[in-house]
Amino acid sequence: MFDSVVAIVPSLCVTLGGIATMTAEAFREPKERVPVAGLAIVALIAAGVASVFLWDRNATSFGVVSADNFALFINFVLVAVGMFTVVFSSAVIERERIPAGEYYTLMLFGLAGMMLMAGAIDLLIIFLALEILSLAVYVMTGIRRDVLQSTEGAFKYFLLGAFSSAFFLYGIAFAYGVVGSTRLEPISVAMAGQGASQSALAQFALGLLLVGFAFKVSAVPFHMWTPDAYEGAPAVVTGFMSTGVKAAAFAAFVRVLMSAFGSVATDWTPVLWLLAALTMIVGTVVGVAQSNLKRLLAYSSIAHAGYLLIAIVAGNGIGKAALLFYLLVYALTNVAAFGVIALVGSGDRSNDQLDDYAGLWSRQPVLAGLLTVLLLSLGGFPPTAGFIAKWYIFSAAISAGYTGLAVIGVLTSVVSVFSTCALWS
Amino acid sequence: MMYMVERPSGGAVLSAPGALATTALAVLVLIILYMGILPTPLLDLAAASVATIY
Repeated sequence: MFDSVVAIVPSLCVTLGGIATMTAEAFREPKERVPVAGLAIVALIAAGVASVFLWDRNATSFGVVSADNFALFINFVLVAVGMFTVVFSSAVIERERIPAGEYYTLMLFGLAGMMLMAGAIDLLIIFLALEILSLAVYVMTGIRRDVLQSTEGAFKYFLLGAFSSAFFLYGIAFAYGVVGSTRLEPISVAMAGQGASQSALAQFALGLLLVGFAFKVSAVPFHMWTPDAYEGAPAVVTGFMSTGVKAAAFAAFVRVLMSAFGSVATDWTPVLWLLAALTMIVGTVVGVAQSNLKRLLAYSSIAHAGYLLIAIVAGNGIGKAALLFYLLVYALTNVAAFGVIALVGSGDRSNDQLDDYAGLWSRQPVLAGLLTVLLLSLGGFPPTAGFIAKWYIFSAAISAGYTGLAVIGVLTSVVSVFSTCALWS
Repeated sequence: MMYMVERPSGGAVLSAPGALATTALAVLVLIILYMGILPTPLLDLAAASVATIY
């Protein structure tokens, strides 16, 4: 019995943490303070420890969830994102008038969905995990019900998210229609054969799945929800969703494309090439014109999705490793950058306009220094990890013969520095 | 420069983060610099992890 559930233990830990925080909130006396942040930290540590114990075991649960090292690596990224989000949230949650119990419960349920998504080896489980994390994040986006912008962002995110879920679900239905299974392994076997891979239905299923994933990773032209949702949500929530959701979505994206549809890579590579190029260009160019730091980072996040897509297009060993490294670096950098925005805000004013940072160096030099390093890393400056991550992604593209994509990546990286400079000049 | 210029009168008053949050930020920045200078162990780990993907 235990063997069959072992692969979902990290996800179970955060789910139980979510239930504990929800119960603590439901039964607390009015004015009583319950350490829900502490409960969230305990759950995340448990998930991290469970992931360490599962390392190299390649466990599976019910044949639909795998705890391979790929999924566990993503789990570590998610645990780190969760921990730092809790630390930043505990500093601002009261000031922002965010209900703590609901907030930490939703965050933990969202993380459970993300972990499940990273390890899922069945399209239906990927869909269920996607919905678990999405529902939590929609509510978190609009958790400040007294802020109109927050509600608007949540509503847009919900509408477009539901739209993308429909694409994804129809993709699953068509894949099932071709193969007779929603598991990745039978799909992979069928796609390797001549019949299924060349059927129009299979191509259609692949196209719909690509659209569904492109929405979730904010790839252009499916990125419209991102700036509004990122700007409307409290900054700590934006930090959480811009990193956790992206890590989980890319993990599932890579697994589905490279495992199930790896044998038909020649079909999806040109599409992803175009998506990557458009995403880098639009994310960077539109980002330069922003005067709001959260929107600027939202467009930066869109551009980063383009860089991550390069790694999938390259599809070689360096590209796959670079993708995981890039996800880790991006997650840590972005959660910290949005953490700064959250920390400098006040209850009545979000302080996220670029002008608000005037004089930061003289008033809070340590914070200004830390934010500088974070923005330099997002721009890809040495000696930060952002530089190395981009270096490996572009190396992977060049070694796989996609020099054009690497050139676009380098050029957009240079332009993105102008966005960063907007904060300084 | 935006960081360097004086805050205009009536401009935003930025809150000062607490010790725990500042420490967390500093830790993150140190990790980012460390991964930028010595990326090999993590890249190797990433490569080994992605090799197990089904």
